[in-house]
Amino acid sequence: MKCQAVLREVFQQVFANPDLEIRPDMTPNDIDGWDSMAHVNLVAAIELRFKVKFGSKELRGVRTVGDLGRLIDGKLAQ
Amino acid sequence: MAKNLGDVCQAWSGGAGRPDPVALRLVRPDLSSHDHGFGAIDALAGQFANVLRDIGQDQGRVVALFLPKCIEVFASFLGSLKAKSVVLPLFANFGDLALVDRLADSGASCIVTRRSSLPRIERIRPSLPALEVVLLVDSETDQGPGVLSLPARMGRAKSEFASAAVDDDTPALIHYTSGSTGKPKGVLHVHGAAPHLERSMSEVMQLGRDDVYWCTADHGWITGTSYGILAPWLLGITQIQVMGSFEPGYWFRILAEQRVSVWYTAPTALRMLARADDIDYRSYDLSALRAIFSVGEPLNPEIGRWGREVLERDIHDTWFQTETGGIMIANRPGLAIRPGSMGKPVASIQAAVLDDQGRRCPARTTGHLCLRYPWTSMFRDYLHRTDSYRAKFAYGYYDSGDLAYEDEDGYFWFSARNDDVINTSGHLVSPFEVESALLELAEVAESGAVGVPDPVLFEKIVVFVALRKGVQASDELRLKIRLHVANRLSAAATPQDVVLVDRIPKNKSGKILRRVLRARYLGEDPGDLSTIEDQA
Repeated sequence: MKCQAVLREVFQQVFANPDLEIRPDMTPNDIDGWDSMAHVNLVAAIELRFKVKFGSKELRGVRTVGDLGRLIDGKLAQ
Repeated sequence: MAKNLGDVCQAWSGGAGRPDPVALRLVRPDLSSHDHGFGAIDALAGQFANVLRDIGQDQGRVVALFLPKCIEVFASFLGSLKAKSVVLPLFANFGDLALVDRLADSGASCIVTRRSSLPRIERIRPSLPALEVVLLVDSETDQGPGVLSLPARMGRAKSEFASAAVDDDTPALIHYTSGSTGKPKGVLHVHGAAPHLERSMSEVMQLGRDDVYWCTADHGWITGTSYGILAPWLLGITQIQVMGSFEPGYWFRILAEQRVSVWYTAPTALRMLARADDIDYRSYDLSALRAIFSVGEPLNPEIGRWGREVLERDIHDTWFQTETGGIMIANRPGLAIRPGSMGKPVASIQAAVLDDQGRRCPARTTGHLCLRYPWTSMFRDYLHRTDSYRAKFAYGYYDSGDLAYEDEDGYFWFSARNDDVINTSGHLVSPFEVESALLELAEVAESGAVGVPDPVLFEKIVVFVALRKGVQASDELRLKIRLHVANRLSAAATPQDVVLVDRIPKNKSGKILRRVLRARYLGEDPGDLSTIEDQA
């Protein structure tokens, strides 16, 4: 996951936790506050920070931080 | 004397030498699950009650539960009731401001939570003078003075506990609800609530002992405690609870694999499912699913149609409030559904649409949706705001604050709220709380928040913001505004749209004219502007 450092900053901003560390295997159940509504905010923050856009179908398979990272890496490589 | 609500599981436990019927199946995010019997949960609740007594948090002390879905929620909820403590269940994703408002106002002296939430509790602790003890569910050792390991104490505690004697009016539970002005109000419920909860669930959901029931509401809201803990267990029903978050495929695998027969969910969730057009719902085996119910906001007719066409079942919408404690008006099997209607009052509840003078409105005339009181699950007070509580009652009726009409055949139809409270995805959000959170941002000079119709959320939150002089608008600032509200209140309160304006319209006494903001956003006529303050 090439984007991990920036993605960590996005997670820290979205979940208002400057100490939050992320790992590729983390799921919403590992991060306090990561529910379906916070997920919308997370996606909005990622899109703005990485200057990418996701379709709803692309996001449907996202289960983990690693899935998000791969999605971002793929977009940035395009 | 009333039955202690903490003992709901006792009557159904298997007893010595007999199988313990399943009360709760906790489904993990990976779809594996763990069963807990009625006797096992009652024993855990007894242990928790003993812990509370040992640490002096029983007998009227307020015990807050700040936890995601886990077995400790159910043990500590029932254990607190057994010990005659007053339970304050909190939504696990509340932000700091929402937490402080509720913990401080309730005078909570004990919080049950996880280690990961401890930094937040420590951060807000100076605002919580009544807080004495934090019980950590996932720490084997104490973490300092007043920060105690729950597992260590549970391990030493006996499961036998003689529940405290209670009467019908003994405080049991506090849920907070939002108003259009001021901080959220603590709605007090009592141990005497059981008869209405039991009757309403029997009448509306028509559950039997063979049913598998799933209520998707979080325990931080009244539906999650009334119909996600108490009512099903008063009836001895097996229920499932889910630890993972919402995702269409995940939810449908649960419905299919767990053989759910009665499902109680929210219109917003149903709308999101209906929009997930790349999922073939017909590929899931829903043969066990007997009935679907919804609550939280009005169910639109098109979702009812989707239910019939795609799920091949009716969706029965129900209506109640934090204050009513239990279902008041409902569609239920056996009653012909009129799409978009709330249904008819449940037995023993008299609902009426009244005009401003307390007279019944003619059929199809909108007025105040009121309920003849008392009923057993009705609230008994707004904490520290008894005047506001009393103001909800007049002419022998409780005024719900909703506007509605009744048709010629006794079906009720929701029209609107009678105040500015925003109902977004089933969560009531106070515009005042959103505006207060926005004013914490250095960039914001003035703010106004309104709810506007939304096809998925029922209402979405739109904020109007006047920036301080010299502050430049940007996408980053809009995101900052969204995230600030989400983190201070909860993600459910996130503004979906941020409109930058020069000034917020107010009347001459400084009250924000939200109807003007709403009309501007919707491109409608804002109506009478004669009371607006001088904008010069």
